[in-house]
Amino acid sequence: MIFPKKIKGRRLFFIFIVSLSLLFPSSFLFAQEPTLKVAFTQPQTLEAEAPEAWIQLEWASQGIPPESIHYELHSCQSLDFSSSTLRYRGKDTASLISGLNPGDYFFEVRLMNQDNTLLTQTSQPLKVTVKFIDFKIVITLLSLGLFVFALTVFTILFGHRNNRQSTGS
Amino acid sequence: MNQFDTVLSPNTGWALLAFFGILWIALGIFWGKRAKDMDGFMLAGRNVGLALGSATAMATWVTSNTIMLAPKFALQMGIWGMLAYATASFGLFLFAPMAARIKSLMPKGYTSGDFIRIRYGKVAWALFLLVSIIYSFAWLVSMGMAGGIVLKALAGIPYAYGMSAILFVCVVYTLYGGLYAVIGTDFIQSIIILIGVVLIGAIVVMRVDLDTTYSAIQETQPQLLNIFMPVALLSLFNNMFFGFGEVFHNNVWWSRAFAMRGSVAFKAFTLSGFLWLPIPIAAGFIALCSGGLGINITDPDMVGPMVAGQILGPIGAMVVFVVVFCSLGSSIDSLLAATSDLLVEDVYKKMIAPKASEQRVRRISSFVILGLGLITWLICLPRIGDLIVVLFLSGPLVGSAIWPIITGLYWKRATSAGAISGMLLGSSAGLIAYFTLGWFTATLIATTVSMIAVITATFFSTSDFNWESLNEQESK
Repeated sequence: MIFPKKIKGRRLFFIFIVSLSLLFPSSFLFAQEPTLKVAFTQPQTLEAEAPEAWIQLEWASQGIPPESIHYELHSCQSLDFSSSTLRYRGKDTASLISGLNPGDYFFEVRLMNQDNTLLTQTSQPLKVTVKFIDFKIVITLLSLGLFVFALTVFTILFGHRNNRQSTGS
Repeated sequence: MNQFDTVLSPNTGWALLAFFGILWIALGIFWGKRAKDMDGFMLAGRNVGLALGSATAMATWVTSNTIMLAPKFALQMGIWGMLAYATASFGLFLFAPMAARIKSLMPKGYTSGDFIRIRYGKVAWALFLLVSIIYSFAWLVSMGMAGGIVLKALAGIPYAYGMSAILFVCVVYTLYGGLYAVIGTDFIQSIIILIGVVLIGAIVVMRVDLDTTYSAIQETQPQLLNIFMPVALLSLFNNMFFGFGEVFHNNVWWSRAFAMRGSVAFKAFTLSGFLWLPIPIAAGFIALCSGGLGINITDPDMVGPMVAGQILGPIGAMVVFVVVFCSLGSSIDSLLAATSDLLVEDVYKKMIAPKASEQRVRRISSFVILGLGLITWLICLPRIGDLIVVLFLSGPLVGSAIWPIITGLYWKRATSAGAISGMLLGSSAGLIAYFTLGWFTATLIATTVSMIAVITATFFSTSDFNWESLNEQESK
């Protein structure tokens, strides 16, 4: 044993205090500005399918108080957003997009400050593919539907006529 | 205004909720005094006339789904979507002749379960009860959820509180008044709903420029105007058969047929179909205007109330609030009463205690109404998903019951084997279609498969059913 117990305790305490005093200023050196970020939360993947021609989009931002910003939701059929359509501008964090023609669509959300300057945007656009059910299946099912409907109506009305005749009403 | 703002203050919402809640409960207790026996409690004394009969059928069919899903259909599937929802009125039109037949075959009948049991035997009856109870819960849960969602969106009332308050009010007045209270409140609710919807529709038409709306849809939502949009076309038949299945099998409608006097049933159901038809079209039209008005839809379940609230302001939002509350009340009470009748009459009286006194049956009926309310509340509490998923998952089940019921009513050769295979094969095929092709094909496929099974079984049958045996009271 080099030091008596009491002295060892003091030394350890001294080392601890020195380490803390060194760590505290260094934490400022490594600290970063809070990251401004906006991302889609629904759908949760960057590629989605919309077989019914509509999709529900939801997004969230971080790093800035919501009262000082607004969002812009843009869509485009090409990845470069050269001729994008503004789908929504405001403070909502969701939007239902419906009535889309078949094809690929790209969506991005832009985070804007109060004087309409772009702060940040989604790092990667969301790709939505609208592809309808095969039209042969549609025609088959529609024909079936029409047939079942006609037979149902006929059965009920024919039965009703017989019922009226039998009850005399 | 954004998605986090509400048109009405929570205080206004609570005040409206309290006013109408107390009114329905007071009327329920008042009308409930007329229910002296089980015929009175379950079937309003079998003496319901044309005005009350058509009003109760119409009000029951205007559910929260009509106010909330019809606009959603229009926004997601355009013109066809709007018309697809309106085809549910065909269910009422076709049930009109069926109701007349039911009255003539079973003048002393109580439930749709009675019919299936006598007509097809116990196995088909058990299967039918299962289908009916699953569907009734899906309907109840979708309405409970809708109540919570709409109160939150319009007045900022927390979902759990709003949903609980609506269920509580409906359970209490159904508990006291039975079908007397249900039909009485339905009459007032149907008048409020009709006036409210006409008022909202008229104001929207006056405030909206149709040319601008059309151009906006054409530019940003072109498929909504496409008459060949596949999903919309398929949903037309799918929704129609769903409506047929709902009306043809459910005891809500059978109990009304039993409750109506003499020849009233045919006229009452036909009239209610005509009264109901314009409501989803008006509600759907409001949703189609959202694009032209620049309204961002954040929750598809809330399209109708959201657009009406934003166009019409606080007064409009109050009208929407009252209309939705009435539509919820008129359907939840009917469903509670009819499902409780089904469970008490078919399960308790037929299987557990056939010799139970009327007083005891009435007490059991109260417990069942309370239990149904409690289970619905528990399922609604976590807000399990979107309304369309909750409701349309039961579509294949009810679609598969259409043909067993029609043929059971009109064809002497219809057999138990046909009914059982129709319900089993139809439901299975429909559920497979739901998960593989999409919800918009499920009921259509279920109905088609069930129809083929029923017709095939009937073709090979030699059965000659005696219609007299359906009149249980007389044949005893």
